[in-house]
Amino acid sequence: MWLQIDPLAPEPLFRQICQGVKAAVARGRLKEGDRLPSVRELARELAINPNTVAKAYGELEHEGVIVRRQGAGCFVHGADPERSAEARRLHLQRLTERLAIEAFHLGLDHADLRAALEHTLEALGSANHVPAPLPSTNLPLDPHHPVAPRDPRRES
Amino acid sequence: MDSIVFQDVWRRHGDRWVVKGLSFAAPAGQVTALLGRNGAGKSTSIQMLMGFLRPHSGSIRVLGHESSDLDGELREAIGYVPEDHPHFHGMRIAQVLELEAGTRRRFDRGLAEARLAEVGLEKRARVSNLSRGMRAQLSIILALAADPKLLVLDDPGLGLDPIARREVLEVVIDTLADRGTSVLFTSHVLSDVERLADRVVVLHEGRAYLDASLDGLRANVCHGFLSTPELEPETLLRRPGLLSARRRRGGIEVYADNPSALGSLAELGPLETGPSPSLEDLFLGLLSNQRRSA
Repeated sequence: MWLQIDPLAPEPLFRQICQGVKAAVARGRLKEGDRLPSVRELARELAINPNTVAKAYGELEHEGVIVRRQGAGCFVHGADPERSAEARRLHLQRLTERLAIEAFHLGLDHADLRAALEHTLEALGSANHVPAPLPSTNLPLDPHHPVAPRDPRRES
Repeated sequence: MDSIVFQDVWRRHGDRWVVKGLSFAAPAGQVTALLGRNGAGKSTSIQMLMGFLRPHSGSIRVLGHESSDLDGELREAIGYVPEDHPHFHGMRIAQVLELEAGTRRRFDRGLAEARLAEVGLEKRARVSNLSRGMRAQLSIILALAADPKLLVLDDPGLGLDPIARREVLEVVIDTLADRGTSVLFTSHVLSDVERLADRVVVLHEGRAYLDASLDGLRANVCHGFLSTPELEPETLLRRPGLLSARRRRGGIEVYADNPSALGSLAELGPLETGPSPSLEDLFLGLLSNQRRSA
């Protein structure tokens, strides 16, 4: 099974499922257009409450990671082109801030943090199709939509 | 809509009050786990819920009706699986089906037979020859064959090996997925509770000590260690948001229902905050060493 959960971990189960699905997509284990197991199938497979699976799918749909097609099930959506660049930038900024704060409290310096991030990206990149090296830009990093050159008309 | 509502329910056995002002609600379509140590009042609460015992005061509403006057039709809308799985031991499964079909109007014999075949229970088998796990499965399948709106399971995992427990869990999971049945269950197996429950109600001393969604608990409840040997744990419990405080090697271990309540303890002394507790840590932290109040 590509998805593992730990019912005794402090992280809520629905969030573990969300993380698991997102990680499987990032690693290329699930590809855009792949159908996810139905709520019932996954609940049975993981031996957990179907409400929890439904909640995780709802969350993933809300985040644009999967789409629900009436009567057909849930499918991996990949990256969401509809989501505005601004929203994506803000989301990434929140995540990197959290990362930087945690790293500080672990007593790690900037070089450690950069190295760890490079390492993670390489590990993902070798399993998937993340373009490497990643462009040094403050625009959203998105494996499915390599960052386009800035449009000078929009900057003025 | 709530499928079960307990409101300030009291009940004694002889002179001893067992349920002392219990209030909680189990939302429809969700799985509510009733937890607590032996003697906390779980079984008495379930007996009252099913209408087998009357509360001495307070009210219990089940599917919108008082539990003490459930009519036949409502009773059939509740699937009840008692912990000892009582069936007539001399009967074969086919005869048990006959009996159930003859006494319960909503009983869907075809559904029961299909489910029994799925889990590999032979109709020719005698109840007395079934393992405890098989009897548990039989009980649950019979309870579900009347398509209940509410399923009440009293310690369904009791005495089962891990594989039998998982099989019982799967029957419940399938029902939840297919029908959206409301479920109330008691268990001492906290990993099953983590898998199955939307909400947990922790009974202690006949009252609801904690009543929260499992995700909410995991997101908010936190624990820490306050290194102040001179403070009495009891004085901390008066602070808002503190769930438990007990003395441990040179300080006090505390559980709080939100991080800021825990953080505010730093004004009293050096405070170490730990990782978020699992349900098991929480259960042990809340209920072990609790003094029995008179």
